[in-house]
Amino acid sequence: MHAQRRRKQYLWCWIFVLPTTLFYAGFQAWPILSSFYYSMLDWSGISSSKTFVGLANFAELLQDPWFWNAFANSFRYMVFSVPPLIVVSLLLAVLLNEQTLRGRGAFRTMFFLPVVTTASIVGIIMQFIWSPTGAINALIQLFGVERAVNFLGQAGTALPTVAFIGVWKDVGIYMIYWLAALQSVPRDVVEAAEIDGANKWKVFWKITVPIILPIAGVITLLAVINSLKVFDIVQTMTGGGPYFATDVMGTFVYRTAYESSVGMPRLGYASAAAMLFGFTVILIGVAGNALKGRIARHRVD
Amino acid sequence: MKKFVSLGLAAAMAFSLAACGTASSSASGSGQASTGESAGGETITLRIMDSSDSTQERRKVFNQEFMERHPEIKVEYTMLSGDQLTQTLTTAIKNGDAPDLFCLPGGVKLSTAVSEGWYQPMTDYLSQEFIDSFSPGSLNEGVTTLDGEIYVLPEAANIVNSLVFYNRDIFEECGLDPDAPPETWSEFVAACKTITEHGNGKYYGIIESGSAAQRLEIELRSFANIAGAKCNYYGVMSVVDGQNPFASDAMKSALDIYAQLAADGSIHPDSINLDAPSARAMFAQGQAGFLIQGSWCIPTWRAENPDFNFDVMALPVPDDGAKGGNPYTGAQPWMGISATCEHPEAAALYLTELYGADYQSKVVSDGGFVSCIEGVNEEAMSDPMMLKYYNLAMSSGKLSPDPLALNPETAEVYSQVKEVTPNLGQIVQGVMAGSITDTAGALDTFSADTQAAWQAACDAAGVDISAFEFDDWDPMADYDYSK
Repeated sequence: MHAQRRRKQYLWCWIFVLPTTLFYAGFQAWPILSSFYYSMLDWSGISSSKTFVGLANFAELLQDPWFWNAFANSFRYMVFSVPPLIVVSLLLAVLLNEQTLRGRGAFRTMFFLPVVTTASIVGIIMQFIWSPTGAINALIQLFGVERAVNFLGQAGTALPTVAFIGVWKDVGIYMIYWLAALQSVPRDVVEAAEIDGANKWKVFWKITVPIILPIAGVITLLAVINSLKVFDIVQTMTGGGPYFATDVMGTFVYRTAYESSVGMPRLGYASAAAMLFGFTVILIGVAGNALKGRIARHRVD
Repeated sequence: MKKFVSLGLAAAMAFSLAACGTASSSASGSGQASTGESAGGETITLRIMDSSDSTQERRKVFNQEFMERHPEIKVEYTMLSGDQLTQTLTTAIKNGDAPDLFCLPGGVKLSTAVSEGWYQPMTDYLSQEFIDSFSPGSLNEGVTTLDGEIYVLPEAANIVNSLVFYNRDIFEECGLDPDAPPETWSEFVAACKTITEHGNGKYYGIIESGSAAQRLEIELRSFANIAGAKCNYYGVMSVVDGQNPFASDAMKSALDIYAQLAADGSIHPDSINLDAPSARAMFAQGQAGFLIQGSWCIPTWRAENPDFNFDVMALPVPDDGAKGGNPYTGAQPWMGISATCEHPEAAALYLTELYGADYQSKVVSDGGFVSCIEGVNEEAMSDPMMLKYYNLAMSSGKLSPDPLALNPETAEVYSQVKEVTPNLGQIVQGVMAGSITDTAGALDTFSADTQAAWQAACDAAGVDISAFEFDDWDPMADYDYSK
């Protein structure tokens, strides 16, 4: 009787996860597996002549300076974008979580607006705003800067600028994550601390931060992984240029898979690059998750 | 029978349209009757896909009128930009869902497409009269035709698409004579510098579409070929004495023009992130003295910037004179009938009307379009600036040898050759952005990598690299294809 009920329960569980599982299999697992297969082919993606080359694509990648350039740029983008993203979104969340702040809803919507705007549209508009003849340059010229700065056109400033815009675009979604975390802080604990004479700063450091730390780990991990996957905003603003200065893994794979001038594009080689990088991201995810687990355990202790 | 009726109809259609533009109403009457009969009253859907953005508006009207003339045919037309088209088409074809008529995506040669089974031969569905209406040199074995069977048609006649536009008002403001624009590289670089200094941040010497590597490669190859590099047009493999021409002195001196312009600050600072349409628009707003692009700019400016005072000149030549012409190849393959198309007669009918003198004259008179149909251009090219462009293009442009047309076995090499990164256009980007300072070194590396990639592709295809070499090519003259 008991076993039968358990079976029934299992059945229901399976029924409920079935739609997601099917979607996952169709739109995630299958492309990943086929990409793994493509990565071992010498194939343009256009012709039907495919040659199985084993791991030759991977061997070539390891020696390809442009692959490593894109690899490094992806991490540079992460370094430029994740810390400000986490800090700024937390600040905004704390501010907007303040019960005494009027018009909180309006502010939340305002900061969330860029999140729902299509990345490619943001990219195109930001290209104008940050151009040497655009609004940002007009602004800094008011403060006495003589020569226009070509933010997106110089190798040195292009990637930080793209990262800055990426932060502006995504800060809203992380703010929402933080707000959710902040609401999990029990009011009674905060009130007790306030009665004991703790000021706002102390409450934040001694009560709020320790409570939301595990969620902070998840948020950071999400931000890291999302920053490594960046594509659309870079593609529309710089296309990986000037001269590969903002060429991240997404643009490298796209270009290698679809673009060519004299030669044929190389879908197999691009798949290999995507696999290699994907594997790196998984490693980082696993490491980050382990670290997060340790922090959580530490907190419980 | 079905095929025969449509064929007859197609021929009649083309003839009546060619004979007089106002015959369309009577033609549509007969069209309805006979095709309706042949299709047995069912509605046929023709799905068409290409990337012809400049003629888009005309095409929409044409499609509408086509459907009115042939109510049994429904046209579903999709226009996608280059990269999108390649992805969408290749996926659609793999899934057996190819459009009925589609253009050959950039970078794919006809022989590859045909051996992949993308297109069906269309010769049987076309009338001889229709085939004869194309100008000589429009339909070439290896390019549009394989083993005598026509698979695709060229969209337009090819003319040089890298002439120099200049802003006459800026010339006058800077004390330059708009009726005597620079002719040599030094004069050109100097004029750019003068304009930049005069503009003082308001305008610059030249504006480039720096994010469009393809445009930059076209320009660089044009400059280099004029200096005698024998480097041929964009995307064409060309060999001199067994070597690719990319490390030649002529190529290096051409790249140095960009280095000099960049060093002088003469290139509009936005250039590096601009695509061709944006560069064209900013040029028309008076932000630069020069722009190197093709005739398609003219109708856009006429429509959007009617007061824009521009002119066109030939690409400047080296100080010691030209050693070659502005290179271009013959008409390029464009649209064919899908191998899976179930109504090739209807598709052929669409093509027949699309190449009819009526539609062709309209797109030619809009400007920026040179028809490959005999006699249309002379009649319909009404804009004097367009005519000036056309004449300059014909006088300064020199037809270069196309290995595909001359040695069709080279197609296999093209399908094998691997892209070298950075490519020529990306090298120009690097020079403009200041990331490449050793221009000669960059070309030496590119040339060595290219040579290895080409040699490997030739070996894989079993073709000798000499198939890409033409000893009888005088870059100062049109290549004689009849030999």
